[in-house]
Amino acid sequence: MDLSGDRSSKLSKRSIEWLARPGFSRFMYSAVAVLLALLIGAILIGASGYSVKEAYYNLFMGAFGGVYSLATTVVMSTPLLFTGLAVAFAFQCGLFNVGAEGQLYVGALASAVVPLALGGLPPVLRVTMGLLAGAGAGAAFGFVPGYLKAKLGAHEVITTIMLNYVATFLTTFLVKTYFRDPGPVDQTVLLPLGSRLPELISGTRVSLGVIIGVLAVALLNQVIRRSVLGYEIQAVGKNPHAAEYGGVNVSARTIQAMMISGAVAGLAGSAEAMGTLYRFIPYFSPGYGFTGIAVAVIAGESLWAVIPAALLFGALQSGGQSMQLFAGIPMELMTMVQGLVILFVAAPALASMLIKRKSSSEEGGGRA
Amino acid sequence: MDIQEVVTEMGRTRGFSAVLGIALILSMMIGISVPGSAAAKPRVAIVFATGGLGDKSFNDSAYDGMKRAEKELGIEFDKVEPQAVAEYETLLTRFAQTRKYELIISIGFDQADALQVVSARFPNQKFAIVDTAVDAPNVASYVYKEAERGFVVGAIAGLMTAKKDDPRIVSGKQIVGVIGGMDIPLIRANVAGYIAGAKYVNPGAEVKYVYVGDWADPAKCKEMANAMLDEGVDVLWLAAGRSGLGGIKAAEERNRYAIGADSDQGYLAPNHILTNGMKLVDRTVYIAINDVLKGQFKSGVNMLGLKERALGYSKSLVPADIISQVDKLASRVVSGDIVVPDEIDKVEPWLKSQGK
Repeated sequence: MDLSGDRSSKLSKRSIEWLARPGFSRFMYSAVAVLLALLIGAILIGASGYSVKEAYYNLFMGAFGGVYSLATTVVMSTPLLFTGLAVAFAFQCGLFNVGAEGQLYVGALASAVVPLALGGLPPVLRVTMGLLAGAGAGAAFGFVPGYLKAKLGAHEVITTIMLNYVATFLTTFLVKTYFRDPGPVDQTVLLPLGSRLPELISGTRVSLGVIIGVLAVALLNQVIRRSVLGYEIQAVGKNPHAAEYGGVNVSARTIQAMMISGAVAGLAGSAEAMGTLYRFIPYFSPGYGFTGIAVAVIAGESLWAVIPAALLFGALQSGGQSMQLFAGIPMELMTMVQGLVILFVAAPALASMLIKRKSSSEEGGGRA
Repeated sequence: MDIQEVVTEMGRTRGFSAVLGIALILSMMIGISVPGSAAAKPRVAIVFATGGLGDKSFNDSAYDGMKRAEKELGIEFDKVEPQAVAEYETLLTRFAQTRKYELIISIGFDQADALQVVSARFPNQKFAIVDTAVDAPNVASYVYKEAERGFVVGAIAGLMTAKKDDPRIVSGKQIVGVIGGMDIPLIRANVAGYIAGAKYVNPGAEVKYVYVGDWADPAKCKEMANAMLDEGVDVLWLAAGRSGLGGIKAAEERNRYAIGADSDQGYLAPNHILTNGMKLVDRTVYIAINDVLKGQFKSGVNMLGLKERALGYSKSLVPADIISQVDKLASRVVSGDIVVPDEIDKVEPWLKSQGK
């Protein structure tokens, strides 16, 4: 086989172009990727000596078999809906927000603490203030990398990664020092009933959070498609130099986009703290912010696509639980199958996005 | 129809056939039939704590207990390792929903919130929780007589500090110490038992104690340990969770004895871990399952101690003469001859009543 660099790079470029063709249905493509991941997962499960049949039967039933399974899928999708939207929105401005995890932590703590301080107010106000506090804290944590990017040119990937550490340790410190519930565990006081997001289906923890998430997608979609702010954010994302030449205040839009992204990631924390855990627990997130990146990459250009992408990961998580519970598949194998899905769905999508960006920047360069 | 559309159409059909093809292969591998299990054996489910298996502590120990119950009590079991605290409630619910488990076991105190909710939703399902108490008519809480564990390791410390021919012992001082994780009743009971044990076997011994105020601050614990070692403490018990690692390190660096907690921590400092105040979670899980199978499920708080062999010590570096003395003491606790005080204020009067 001739594997000279020239030939193989030509070949891989061709295959990537084939995948990146605008006509290729994104949905069909994702479906192929998921099935491929499940196929390789099946081989791994089988090779490890477990029953593939039992594993995938439980995976499916755990995600979709019955009201509780469906509800659990929704519950597990909810934080990813927010973090996915946060990352996808920043993408629109050409920003890669790796800091959703940290923004989620500060948002969660703010939402777990503020309603407690407002004991006298009616529940609607308490919950609203809790949500606003979460969004505000997240926005503040989004402002920092946005400002550093706009004014100093510090790359947002580096600053957001670093701020993740700041956020997790800061929240843990605050809980231990100021907001600790007396008892053996480091956590805040349990939120009383009137300070929680109402449960939509009793006994399932499907909370109002998921509705708020869908509304947030709709709202930001309107902002992007219909508002001047959204138009300018997209312009900055496509080509900051051209946008600036066209009169857009690039640094202001960059900061605003990061703040909106941070606010949405903060709401992911609010939904968890007020709708699922009813308190803040240090290190509670199993990486919702990072899975949000995968969700956003799958969703691509469309904000609406964040919803099915978040549901896909929620379903894998929820089904994966049952796979572990009833088929005895160890956690590690289950995580590997999820990793494969991310790999197959997200990696080529990322490649195709990069190609698009590269070719568009080449065009831009030609004109300049 | 221009070229673009043709290509698009081709892409669609190609994508579609790919979906079909892979789905076909998958369905062949999986088969169409639904797996059915014809298990007549009693089934038990266990939800581990978030640390997961491989923690060399609570979870691993609980798993050992399940495997022993599988062999000796003839049960079958399902297990799950949660990745996040938020999962506890769904995992417990999913086990409970099947209605095929004789008992569902929760490991660790941070499952208390979730179990409180789920146990109320499934009143006919029996649950057990280890190391904390949940107040519900269908939950058996297994907690420990912490003072008894303190008493045993305290006695070892009290005897050890009187030794003369060991370079790790500061001669002539006879001071032992204990560092607790937090100033809470559970830890105070351990400290009370430790003081009682040390002074019971060695009335001339002095016992120092202090609390870190944190389960996961090894640096602070190490500082406190060093301060104690400066004062001449030569046997130091670390009942402080992860913080204790700092104290063990300090003892190793200064060539003194440390005592581990909960599981065998000897691997951390093989020449300096004198013994460990063990919580035998494997034994606890076994007892919980056995209770249910024998129809002796008791909701509410079930106290386990030396008698049930759910608490104990590891022989590690303990000299043979001390082992024999401590075993005699322990058997007097088991028989009820010695009732260990579980509050620090009660230790002095108790020692007087024992004629010490």
